Amino acid sequence: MRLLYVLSVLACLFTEAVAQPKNATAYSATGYVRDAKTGKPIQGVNIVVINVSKGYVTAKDGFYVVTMPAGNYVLKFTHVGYRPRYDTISLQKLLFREVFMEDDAKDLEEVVVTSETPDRNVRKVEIGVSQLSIRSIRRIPPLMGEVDVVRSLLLLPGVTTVGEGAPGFNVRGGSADQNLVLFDDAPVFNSSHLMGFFSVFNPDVVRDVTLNRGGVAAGYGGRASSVLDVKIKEPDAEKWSLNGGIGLISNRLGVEGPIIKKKLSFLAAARASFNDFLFKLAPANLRGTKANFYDLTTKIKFQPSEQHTITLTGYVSTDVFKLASDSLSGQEINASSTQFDYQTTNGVLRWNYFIGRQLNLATSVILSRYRANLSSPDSANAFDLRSGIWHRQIKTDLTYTPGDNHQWQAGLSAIDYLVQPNTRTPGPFSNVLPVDLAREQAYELAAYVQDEWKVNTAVSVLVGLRYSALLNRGPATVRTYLENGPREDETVSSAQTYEAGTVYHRSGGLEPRLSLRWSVGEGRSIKAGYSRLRQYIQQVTNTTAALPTSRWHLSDVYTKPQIADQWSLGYFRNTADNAIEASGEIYYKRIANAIDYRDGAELQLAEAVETQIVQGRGEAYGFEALLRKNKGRWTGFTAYTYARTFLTIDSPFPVERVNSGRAYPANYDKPHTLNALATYRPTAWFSLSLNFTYSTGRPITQPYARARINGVYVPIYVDRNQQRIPDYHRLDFSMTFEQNPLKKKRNQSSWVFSIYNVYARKNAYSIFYRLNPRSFSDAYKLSIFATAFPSLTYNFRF
Amino acid sequence: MNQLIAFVRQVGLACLSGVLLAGCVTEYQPDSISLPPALIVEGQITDQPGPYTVRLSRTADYSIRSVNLLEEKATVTLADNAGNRETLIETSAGVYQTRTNGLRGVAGRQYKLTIQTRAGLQFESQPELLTAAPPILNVYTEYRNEAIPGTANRRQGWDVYIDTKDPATPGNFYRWEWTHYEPISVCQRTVRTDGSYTGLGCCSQCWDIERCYNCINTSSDANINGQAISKQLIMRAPYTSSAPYYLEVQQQAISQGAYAFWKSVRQLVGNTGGLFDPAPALVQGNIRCVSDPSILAFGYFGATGVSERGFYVDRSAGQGTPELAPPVFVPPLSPCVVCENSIYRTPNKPRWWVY
Repeated sequence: MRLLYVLSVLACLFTEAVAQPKNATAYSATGYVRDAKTGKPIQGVNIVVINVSKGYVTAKDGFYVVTMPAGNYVLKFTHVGYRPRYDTISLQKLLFREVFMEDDAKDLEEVVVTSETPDRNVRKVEIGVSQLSIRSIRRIPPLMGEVDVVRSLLLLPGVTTVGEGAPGFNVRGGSADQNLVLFDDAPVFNSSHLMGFFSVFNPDVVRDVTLNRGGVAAGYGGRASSVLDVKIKEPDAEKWSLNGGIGLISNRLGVEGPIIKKKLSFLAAARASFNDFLFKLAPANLRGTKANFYDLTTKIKFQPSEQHTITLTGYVSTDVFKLASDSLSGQEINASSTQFDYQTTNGVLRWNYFIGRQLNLATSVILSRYRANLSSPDSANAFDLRSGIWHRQIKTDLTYTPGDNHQWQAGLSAIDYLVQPNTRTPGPFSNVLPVDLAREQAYELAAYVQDEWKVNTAVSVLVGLRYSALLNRGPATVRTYLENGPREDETVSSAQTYEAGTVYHRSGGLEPRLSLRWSVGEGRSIKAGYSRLRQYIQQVTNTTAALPTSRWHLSDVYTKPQIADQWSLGYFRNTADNAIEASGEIYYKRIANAIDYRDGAELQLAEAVETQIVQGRGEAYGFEALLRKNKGRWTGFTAYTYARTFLTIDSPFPVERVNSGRAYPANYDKPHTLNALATYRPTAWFSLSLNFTYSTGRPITQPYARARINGVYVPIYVDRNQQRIPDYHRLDFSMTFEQNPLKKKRNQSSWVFSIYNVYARKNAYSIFYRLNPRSFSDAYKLSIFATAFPSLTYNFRF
Repeated sequence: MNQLIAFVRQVGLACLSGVLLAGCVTEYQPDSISLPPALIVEGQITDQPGPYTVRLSRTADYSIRSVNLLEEKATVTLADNAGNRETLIETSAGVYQTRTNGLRGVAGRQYKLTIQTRAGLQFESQPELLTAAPPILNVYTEYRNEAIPGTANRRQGWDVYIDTKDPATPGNFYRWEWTHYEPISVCQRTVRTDGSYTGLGCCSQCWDIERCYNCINTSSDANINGQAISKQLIMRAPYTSSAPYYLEVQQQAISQGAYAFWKSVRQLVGNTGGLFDPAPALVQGNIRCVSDPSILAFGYFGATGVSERGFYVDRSAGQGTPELAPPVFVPPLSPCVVCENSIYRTPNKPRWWVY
């Protein structure tokens, strides 16, 4: 709080120093910015008054207000995916102007990957926020022809993964469950299809993707590392169209159009995999493997007037993965095969009320359900293990823009969580015992207020304060453990039972957020940020990557909420009319109550998770550098990241310590990452992309010694994560052939040919230690995608 | 089998297409790290007649080239909570045994092992309660054949299963082991330059003893308490002859500590370091250094209740000719070789032998 105070005082001083001379007559230019083709309003268009260096942004309905002293001005309109537009105005009275922006698809110049408006990286206040339009995601060479949102994020600085095809991603030293993944405001608890190879977002419906890894706005909360906001595009309100694609892994089909022109429009897109045939080519032991998924996204938009917009988003995703072995089930039950089924069902009803030029109210009702099921078919040992999360939320956000220099935002949110840890049901003739772990229930409440304040032409500040709290409620049984021993089933001294609805535990606190931008010259700025994030729900698993069936757990009496404090500082520089962008950011993050697990933890069916979890301190720091070329036939970028993450888990009791209480690298600690993407687009109908990625191998635990027990060599492990797997690098290539967009044709199609892992490097996926008398080696390296992997995809739009 | 599971576990997830499987696993030489050699204790007392064996050795660097040294000239004492104790005799380097008519395990008693090494360090096992094992109710087989990858041949065999009934009380832990006795007539065998075999006959009836030393087959009643344990796989009898296959199946009642220890050993041996494998960590076992708690020791000294059954696998339904061992040419009028009693061979008729 003291920091806030100091900053506001500083800011006031600045205002005083550069206060502009008062001009007697000021006028406004107002109007709507719309898509030239569809007429849809465009939100978030940046409007810059050239030579005055004053910036504005369009509201949700595309409305803008530019207030300036009387005179002649040039306004520059810019937005992701649109050609910049210039508008010359003579401001002598109140002007109303409608501005139409054209799609930049036919332009040769293209902004790649984080295709924000040319100078947005320098001008915007937030630090550590990257936005990707779906068009730039499509330029990245895809794996097996699947355009993938999460995979494309891995090119951004500060984003890593524990392995090729691992579910989830890690942002600035956070675990995968510390990312809040929102698909049109609804949280997605498992963002992976096929156990992690592909993400659940259908690229045909995604409008853009924003990753907040540094300065998370006060409107977001609930996870400690980042917010990934995936937005579904608005249904086309003008005409009907059909689009789709055929690929090696999945096939897509989508339809959108107006039911009542300009009032009611509809969008539906489905994606399904038919790749079982791939396993039929596999050796015998894999032929029993079954892997299929589908997802369906729908969105209805109803706009009865300019003031009211109601949207209803629905999303269903289902995966079935059957393995011809019980090796992954984690259950000590004999089984000939294991089947994972998991399903996400989301629904969002959103009402946007544009009250006036200064006020906008957005209210959403959000339902999100994730269910995972693990089953085995063998009659005597058949069982069905179910788990799930129900997330029900209502939230409302009010935006108030009193003038040019302030944009206030305030909001409330209430989430009702129901976590079903695991319920095991035996089959009809099964000897397996039923298990039904107690449900976890809680309310997560939050309120926030935020102001984006343009202190003067050089300095802007985004100040926010959020308060969040978790209220655990019954029915529940809370154990008390003996104080002079570790938390174990054997050290329970008593247990207290709470009735349904009783709030038995509260935790919460303030989460200050602050971002500051200081323009130090044309195309140059320095930014700083601080944020605190609290996390009340976590996925508990002691495997490197979480399985779809890994258990979710709410913070409670024993599992304290994870609290992340992050400080970041960056320098941003654009030159050559924003054709070249360079930036450098450093950050330092401290996580209180970071989670890890005891040696040999058994989490799936633990009645009390607190006997398996250990909490401690996390520390992450790093440097991210980015150099990008935005214009010309060759475009692309290079991003380098240095990042470290350490955990320290100490306790008075040895069983609750990890690595004897010393700091050790987290599973996802990968110090060096280098990503580069280059796209060559000589004509409007052809483009070629190359993508190179390098990263340090993830930490692994290597045996210190071997014992010979029962004639078998048994590895002796002492400390975790002391060694690393070999470094990873890979080159990908893709070519896209499109129809010439200059020839206006209703039917459009494109072909994408890609090669993944061009030089067929056998990258290590894992290292395992095994002593085989027939070999002189002490360990083995498992590689996946160990060969160059070509694929071809056909996309169409009618 | 472990290897296979490991592969399915990783590869099944990882390699979405068969094309990828080739060259998935390659050899890798990690950096070496080491730990001062720590004592390893292996052994158990059962409710069956002795002698009982305890093996003492040392840890070595994790490498195919290193050697696990044996711990010689230690004083090893076994005691129960009824006041009986016996000092074991070192029969060969690192191998300590009770006397044939010495201490015998009794269900309901607790057993503790004390070790004084030559260097003067004192180690102790935590006392273990010996629990009687429930009887094996049923032994049966299922014929199965599967294609041998890359060939047109099929491998045949019989999966041997048992059924048993878990006692009503929770906290029962099991381990299963099997022993096969293969009757032999040739007691010494040499390979000739052309690859055929020549050998000498046995002077008496003789059996080769086969066990699976590295199979750790355990289970707990946590999931099935008080119910039948059914279709517990014991082993697979190969089609090496159409004659019955003699098998002794042992069901052991082990303690919770022993179960956790063996389970961790099995997981460690099968760990592939993959993304879905739990963080590896060894359960140290029940051996502690009393003279200096900072000194590490590994292994388990268990007290185990045993129930056993003999069984013949009927292999007459095998298809085609069995995978016979190559014939051994025994020269006429050659001398015979004594059938030596060892852990691999015996002249003594197995317990349930009838043919």
